[in-house]
Amino acid sequence: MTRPAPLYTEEQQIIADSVQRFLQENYSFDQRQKAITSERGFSQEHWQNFAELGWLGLPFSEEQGGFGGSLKDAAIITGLLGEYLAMTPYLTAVISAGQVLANFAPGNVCELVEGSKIVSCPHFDFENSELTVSKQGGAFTLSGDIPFLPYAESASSLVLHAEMDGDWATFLIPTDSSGLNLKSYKTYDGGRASDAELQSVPAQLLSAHAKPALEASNLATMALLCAEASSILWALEEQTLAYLQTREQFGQKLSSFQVLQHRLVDVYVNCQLAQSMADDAVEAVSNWASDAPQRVSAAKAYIGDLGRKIGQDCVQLHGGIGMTNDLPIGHYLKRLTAIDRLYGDAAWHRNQFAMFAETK
Amino acid sequence: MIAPTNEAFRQEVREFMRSNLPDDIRAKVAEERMDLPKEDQRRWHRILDKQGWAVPSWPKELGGSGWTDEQFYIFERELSLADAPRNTVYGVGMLAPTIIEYGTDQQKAEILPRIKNADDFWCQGFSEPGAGSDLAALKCKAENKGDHYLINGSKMWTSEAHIADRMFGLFRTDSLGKKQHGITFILVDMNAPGVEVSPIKTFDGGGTEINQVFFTDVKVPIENRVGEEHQGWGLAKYLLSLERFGTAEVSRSMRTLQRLKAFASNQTRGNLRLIDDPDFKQRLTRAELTLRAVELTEYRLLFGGEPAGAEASLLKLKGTEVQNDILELLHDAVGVHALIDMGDPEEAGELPAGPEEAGYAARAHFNFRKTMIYAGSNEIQKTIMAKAVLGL
Repeated sequence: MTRPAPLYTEEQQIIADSVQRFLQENYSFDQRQKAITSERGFSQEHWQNFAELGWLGLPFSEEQGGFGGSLKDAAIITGLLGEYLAMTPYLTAVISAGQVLANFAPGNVCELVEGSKIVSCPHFDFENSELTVSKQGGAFTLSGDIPFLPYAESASSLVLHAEMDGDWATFLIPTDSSGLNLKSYKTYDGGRASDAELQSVPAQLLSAHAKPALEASNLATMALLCAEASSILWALEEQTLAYLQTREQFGQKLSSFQVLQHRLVDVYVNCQLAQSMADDAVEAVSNWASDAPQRVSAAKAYIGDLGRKIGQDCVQLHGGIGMTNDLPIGHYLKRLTAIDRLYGDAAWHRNQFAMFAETK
Repeated sequence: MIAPTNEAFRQEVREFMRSNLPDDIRAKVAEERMDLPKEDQRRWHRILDKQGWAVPSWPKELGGSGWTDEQFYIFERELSLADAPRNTVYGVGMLAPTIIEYGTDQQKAEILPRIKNADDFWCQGFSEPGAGSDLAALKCKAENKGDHYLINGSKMWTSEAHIADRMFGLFRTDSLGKKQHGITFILVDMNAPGVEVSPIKTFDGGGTEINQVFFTDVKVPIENRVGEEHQGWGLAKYLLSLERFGTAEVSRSMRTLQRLKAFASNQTRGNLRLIDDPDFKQRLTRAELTLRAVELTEYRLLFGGEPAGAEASLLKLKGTEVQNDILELLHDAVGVHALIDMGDPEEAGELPAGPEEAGYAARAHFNFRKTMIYAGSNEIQKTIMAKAVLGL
């Protein structure tokens, strides 16, 4: 084993073992390929299993119906989901939207934890939101276009943000609202998403001063994406190493060629560095450290670039077989590439990091 | 990741540096000089010795500090951030622990106090013209003549041989069998008849750092052998495994990065500050992020529980790469005045033009290419990891 043994607490080890066991049995690569081509892009039965196994409630407090775990615990789940390429609404529902609900509508968390309702929310840059709010009496309606709501077609409600009275407000709307039109599509990493058009859709105001909570939910999502990428990288490293130790050309194992050994070492070394950054980001959001934004941006920028590079290298090291759809390798590359697109790409986070570094 | 939190200790070291580090020495280190003249090294060593910090890694009864790993980590960081020279490496960090582990009582009594007091400076005679990365191929011969060894041959790339009083080296005492067998660890007086030191000029244009050392019928008393005859390879492996802290040069790179950022904030390119130039900012931020990743990895590997194996190789590889990226940026930031050739910094006059960084940026940029070559080239580190970690 080249991957460092994780430093889990006893409880975290139990979580990791249970997730691992479930995914081993239910998310072989073939099963995964079936799931992503199913109607919703994931198995609702498995989603129910996630609820029963307690994964959905993990990062919510016990009063909210959760299990009082931390984001660090949730990172164990997203990491393993990534490693099995298990595409589900977990991140968007439990973290991105879920953490906002936990702040402003704790009563809605219960349905989420039970697995009966899924919630989606838009991409991180809420300050570019084109939604407009109309207020009539105490009632609000939303209008405008919102791109890229992950798994919105499977969601029962959407958490949406808009500028209101010079501040950022967040609203909840049911997905069966009249005036809401979803255009849904597949994404290249095997996921699903929708663009939404809203025409005077009645909305429930969750908070008129949502900015800090939205930023916190963004940071948590970013950190967990880093954790997912870090796990994927180790999986790639292990599978590529194993393949080069098996495949023979010119009468010898590929792993006996020094040029390939050195490239594998580069992959290994970069996995170690990426993990350090991801661990630090998850640590930062778990404690809500004051420098969390900078640490998360450091990790997301670094992993955004490096993850894609390692993914590309591992396809190259596999050769022709790495190009095939039947091997996970290319799908890992696609997921790593998608992760860099989500919640700010490497260039965006590099600028953020540089900004924080300069003001310090 | 939580950095070491011994704030009281950090403040103590910081305060000590502020009050005790001589300005002239600080100024030399601030110009990215790794090798200082002997008298500067001795002066700084004795200042540290008075405080009980000259040989911190030694056992306490021999003058060591008894620090925790966290304290060593902090000490190394604060030294670099204050532009202090690091503790002398060959005597204090390499030979002494080897003598403590393998030496006779007489060797310990003779050698260790003279290192601690900076009476003797040591150099390391390992590499040879035909034995670099393939160290075990070394040929420099030591014949056992009963009461002495007779040494003939040469050592190559020997850092500080020109200022050293003594050398610890690996010599060939037997050429039958495996090449790792028949190597003996011997201590040689640099003033002994037949020892000749020939400096090797490096292309960076700075002063002498490395040398070739020639041995012609050099007689060395048999008591100068450390450990068993023919068994020196084991000692060398032990000695080379000692350096856990600092192989990544993280602290030094952090200090260089501080200097670079301060400089780039004060320079303009067109109507932008250099630090706001989009291309420069990209490169700077990438280097800063990589350094951060190396720093966090160093901390995780050294303090984070289970050993990963070959940690030192990983850290050396990435640390020296990013160190060179940062120094290259500093050179680029200086602009055209980086071209000024200042020669040997010990003999350099006034900088004729340009910002003060012009006085050293090019030398440092070119000189530090060595860090990716010495102490096991970065390619050797990859081969070590392929074997030790990936099992290839």
